Amino acid sequence: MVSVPRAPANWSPTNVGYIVVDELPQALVGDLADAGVSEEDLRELAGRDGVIRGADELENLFSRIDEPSRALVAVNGRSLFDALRAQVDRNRQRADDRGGRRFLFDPVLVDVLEGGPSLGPRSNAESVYRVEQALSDLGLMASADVDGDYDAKTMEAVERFQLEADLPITSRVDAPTLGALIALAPPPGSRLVRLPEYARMARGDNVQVTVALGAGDRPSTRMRAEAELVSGLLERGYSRVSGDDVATLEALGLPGRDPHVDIWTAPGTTLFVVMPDDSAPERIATSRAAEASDAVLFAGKRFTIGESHRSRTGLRARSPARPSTNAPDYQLVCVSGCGADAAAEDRLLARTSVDTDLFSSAGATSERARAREVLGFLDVIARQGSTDDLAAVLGRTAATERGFLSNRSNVTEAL
Amino acid sequence: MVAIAPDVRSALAVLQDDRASEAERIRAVTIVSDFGGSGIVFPLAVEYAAADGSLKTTLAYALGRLDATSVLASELAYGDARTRARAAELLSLFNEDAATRALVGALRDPDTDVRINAAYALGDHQDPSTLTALTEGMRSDTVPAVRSACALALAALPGPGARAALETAAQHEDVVSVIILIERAIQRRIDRGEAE
Repeated sequence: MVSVPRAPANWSPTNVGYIVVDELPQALVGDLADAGVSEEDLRELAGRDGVIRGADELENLFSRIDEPSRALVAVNGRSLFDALRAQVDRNRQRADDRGGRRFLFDPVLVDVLEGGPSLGPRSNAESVYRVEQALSDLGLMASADVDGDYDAKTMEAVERFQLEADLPITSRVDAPTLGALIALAPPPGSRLVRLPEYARMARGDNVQVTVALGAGDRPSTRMRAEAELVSGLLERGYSRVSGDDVATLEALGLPGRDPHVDIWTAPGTTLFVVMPDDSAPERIATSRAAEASDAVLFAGKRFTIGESHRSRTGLRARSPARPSTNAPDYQLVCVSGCGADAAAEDRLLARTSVDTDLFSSAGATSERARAREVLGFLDVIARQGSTDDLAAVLGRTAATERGFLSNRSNVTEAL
Repeated sequence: MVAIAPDVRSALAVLQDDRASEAERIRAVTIVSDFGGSGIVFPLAVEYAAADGSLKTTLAYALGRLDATSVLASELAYGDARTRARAAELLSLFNEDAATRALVGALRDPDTDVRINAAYALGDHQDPSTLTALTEGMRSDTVPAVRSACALALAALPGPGARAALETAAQHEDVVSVIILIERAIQRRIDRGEAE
């Protein structure tokens, strides 16, 4: 393992750059030799990867230049300083273009990008620190946890990022993951502002979502929706929690599992999946899960909101006089392909004590399409997308929205 | 397919228009069913699946007059792949012995979509006599989506045997999505009070 130069304490994106020895013009290499720095000196300074990087190494280079040249006079009629600065600026621009100012002067991370060993527990602390800072700036981990230690919090943040970036979930920072971080992380020193609705919706770092599919449909339509949903969840990296997996259930705060509810998890998300039919246990299970969830996704052909919604799915609107202790402060309700109408929405909202927003589609679609809409809603929630993203899930179907994620300007400004 | 006269086509358009009143749609059913022929069984059956109240009753009567089960069973046997798949899906609405027999036969159809639709349709029929065919489909079909559909259909099948078939299949299945759906099917039977 090569030793990694620590970024100086006063490091900032504007005072750091790098020079690639092999990319230096021959004229500049000759001028440096004339000023007392041979090509061998340059290679010694650059080390294994042939790059002179960071303020310390660049200062070291200048210290080797003989006195008159160090005073920034021209060598062979050309300004040595300007020529080196042009190299630094060009490389900085290249790093900027690739979004990689955070990483491209770190040889360990450059090695990862070039297919070397991925970053994981016990990896170089400085490199881990840089990755953690990027994850923190993306809003995926708390700044207090940025410590250079590739621990459980780091792994969780990496997994969540991999899920959002549609990458295989490996918990390690490999070349695709680092490449995606370069592309997605905001410039150093800035943070991506997460929509406050999501902060209100999530408990800690976890969003609990109830998915109820097929309400009121014939058995065969529920079966189709169920098969589509299961395939879609597996494709997205969700894992089903076995009823026997007591440790995971307890970790999720679910010591008493309801057998009518299937529990799935992915980093940052816990799903309660119910396929409600007309049986009382399934209706009750749907109701309980929905009341305690941060987001509720319903889909069903004959599913309507209001009295019918209540009777078919078991969702009991929370009474203002008796708010549920489990009720979240904020709840997103998405309804798909259910014939919902504005009056029914009003009835539901009027009877709801928590701050609930409704996003519904009145389009009559097939059961598989409804399952895909629910999966699309899940994707938007997982990446904390905007109202426009939710509308896009519904495509051409008639959609109503009530202000959810209306302050999209936060994201625009942050980007 | 039989050519449909323009006035019948207009009536079909009214029937399929959600903005039309129930009375207008019932009148449209009468016009369409008087025309007769196999070509209108499909659109009437589609509307029947979504209808309720008096419209559903009227559609049921019309489909009975048109001998919809025989028409769809014939299309399931002799139509092209797309028609067969549609016929299998719509036969789920007609819980009659002839329909069930046709669907059991369709579990061996060369087309995957037909086999999937037949399995799901049998899930609606819930006829204990289909246990063997669904078990065989879940055990030996080469397409995971067909095995999943058979497993889900077995979840709803009354009588003994389905639970054991599901548990045996769970031990031999190696596709994760199918295993999960089999486990859910078993759970569903337990939920309904079936003994371990």
